Amino acid sequence: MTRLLYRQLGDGAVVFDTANWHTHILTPAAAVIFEVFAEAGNGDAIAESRALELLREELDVDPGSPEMQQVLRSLQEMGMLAG
Amino acid sequence: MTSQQPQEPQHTQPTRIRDLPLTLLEKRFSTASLALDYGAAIVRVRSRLGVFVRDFQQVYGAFAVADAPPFADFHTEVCGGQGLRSFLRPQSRFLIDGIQPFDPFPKAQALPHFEWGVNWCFAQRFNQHVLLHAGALALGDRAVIMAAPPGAGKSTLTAAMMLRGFRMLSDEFGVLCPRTGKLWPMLKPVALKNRAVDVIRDFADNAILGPLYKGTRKGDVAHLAPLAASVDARQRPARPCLLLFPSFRDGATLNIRRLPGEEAFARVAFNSFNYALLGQISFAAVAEVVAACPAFALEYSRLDEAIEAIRTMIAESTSDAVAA
Amino acid sequence: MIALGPADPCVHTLLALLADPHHVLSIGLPEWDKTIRLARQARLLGVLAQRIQPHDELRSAVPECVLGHLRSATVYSAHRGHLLRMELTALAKALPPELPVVVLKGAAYMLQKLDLARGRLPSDVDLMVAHSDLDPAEAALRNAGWEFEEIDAYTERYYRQWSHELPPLRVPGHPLEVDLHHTITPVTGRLKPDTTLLFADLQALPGERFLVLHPLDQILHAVVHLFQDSDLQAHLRDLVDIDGLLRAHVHSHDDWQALAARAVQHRVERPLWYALRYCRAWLTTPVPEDLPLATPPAAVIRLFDWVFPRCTLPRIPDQPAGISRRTAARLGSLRHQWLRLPPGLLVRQIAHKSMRAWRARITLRQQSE
Repeated sequence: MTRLLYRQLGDGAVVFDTANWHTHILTPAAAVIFEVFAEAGNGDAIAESRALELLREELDVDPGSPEMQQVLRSLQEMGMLAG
Repeated sequence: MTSQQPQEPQHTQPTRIRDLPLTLLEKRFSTASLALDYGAAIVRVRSRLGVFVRDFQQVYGAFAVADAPPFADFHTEVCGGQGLRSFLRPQSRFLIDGIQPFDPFPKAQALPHFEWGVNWCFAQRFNQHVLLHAGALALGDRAVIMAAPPGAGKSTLTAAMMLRGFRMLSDEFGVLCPRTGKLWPMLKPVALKNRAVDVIRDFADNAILGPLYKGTRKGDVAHLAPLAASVDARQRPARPCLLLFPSFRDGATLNIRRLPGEEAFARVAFNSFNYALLGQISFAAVAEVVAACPAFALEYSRLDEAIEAIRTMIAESTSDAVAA
Repeated sequence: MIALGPADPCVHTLLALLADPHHVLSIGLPEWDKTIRLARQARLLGVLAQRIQPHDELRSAVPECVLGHLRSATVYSAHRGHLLRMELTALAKALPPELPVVVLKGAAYMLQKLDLARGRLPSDVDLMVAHSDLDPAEAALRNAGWEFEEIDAYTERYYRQWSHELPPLRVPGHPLEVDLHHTITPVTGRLKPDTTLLFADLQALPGERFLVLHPLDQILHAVVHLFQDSDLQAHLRDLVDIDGLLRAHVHSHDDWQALAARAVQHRVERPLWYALRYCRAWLTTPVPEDLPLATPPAAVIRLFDWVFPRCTLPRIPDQPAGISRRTAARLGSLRHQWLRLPPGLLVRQIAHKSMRAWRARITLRQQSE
């Protein structure tokens, strides 16, 4: 995804969005989710249903929790999620 | 950057501002043939204000007297008030390129006004560098970056470290060059506020403090003069190897806590003067620093104890460390 | 070359650099010291930087301390460009898609990816809609959060009745202002380009929501702007815009003929004549000799050649302006007022401004007592 610059720092990461110049700070958990989504999308945004499925099946987390909702909102803003 | 000036040979002693008779210094100021080399920037200053020149000599004493260089980054002037008003309430004005960017100060506070003005110019116009809001000091060419919100005792710790033998790069600006990843000195007198003035005065015999300005916008302020060792190395950039977020708390025992990389990034980036303005450039530069430097929060109450701990941390940090 | 008046010799250096960046090879540090200051004052430092930096052999000829300023200016103009892009994205969302909206000046240069946009400092966003679309456009923007800056009733009436734009609009917190125009010059000005012609030849840009003026109209707009729409003060950068537009849009003999013809249609022959004169003289714009444009009387040219450099070229900022420059500035300013407004209105405008100045002075006195 050429729009996003991703830089791992220890277990966490930071992302620069060249579309709007926003910087996102990713905790270790958010960084894992970012990487899983990026791999699944292979450079493109993934459908929201696919994202929720990945969270539940691959990462075994509850997408409905407030923390996950926040992570999803950030990823949405970065253009990682379609729709 | 000021690489156009050949470096002083190490063996000759430069003439320093403190060695000039006041009248000569005044003459140089009045003809603008005085330029200050801060390391990252050269500032030309013109002034006919006696009080300014006198105070200036105290806090810039160790700076070298050089002939006005052919190129200066900023052209500034410190002058008196205008019109009738200036008789009633004497003022000092700061001009850059003939423009007065902010309101006059009382005349007696011409020096703090100048210091503030130079900071402003630098923050406005030096966007070729990432300007971190941080103190920076080095042992040899290995630097520690100390970022903290105002009031956390950053300036006090910076001042104390210089007085205990660290080379000071800056107290206010961590000047990070995005192309080399190195920190440039932007060596200015350290503005100490309120209680910190006495703390530093009592801390070391080699502390040279300028006059105390009572009731400025930031409270009572006095400036600590940079020592000659720091001044003489002002053209030597240093490589960051440690990130520190100090906080002073009365009576605290020394407490050092490793910070995760993404948190260190947030603290450094969002405390910078121009992070947002540089966009992708500053993102990459700050990430590079965080990847290379272990980051710690440091709580302290005793200066010497904190300084010894920092000395050890610099020695132990390897430049390829990745924050846990 | 037209005499530059009492300008600092480094103004020559700046012009030479703008005309040909290879001139860096013959500049020493003391000249750079002044040239950087002049370029910054003219708001052309970013443009200068962008003309030098891409060439390795030129960049390596520039001293490191000077390069720092060029890099800083590049960073700053990139940031302003980013802000402009963000504002345009927000505007595109806010404006009804069926409404034809034209972007003018900086935003238009950027969307067309013209060379002259590189390093240029865009100030505000200038939009133009048909007069009949002003109300829906204004309503859409106000609905989406844009607000008028606080202005007094007189100024608002001035804007609405006599100006070619609404008072500036801004979303609180947004760094850029939006000016909404319905033509390219003030309604009351003496220069009146043909608005019907402007709107008839608008151009769409592939993949963009906004329209731009016909390339020749972009040039003529910049020309009118240079002579009429701004205080006749330090607008070398407007001339640099015109030079850039000419180089981008006008190539063949036919293009030049078309430009002259278009200027005649818009009745802005004379301003174009002068703009081309100074572009050729100062920025070595390749303007052909035999354009079908009427030459002004020799005496007027002499007067113009005296006033124009004194009002246009930057000066070393902390050196006092000479008498001739101050006189020229006053002449320029009077001329500016006179061009903009009908005579009756001019008296009112000046009286109002003087009143306001008096009031400000009185307030100041009261505060200091």
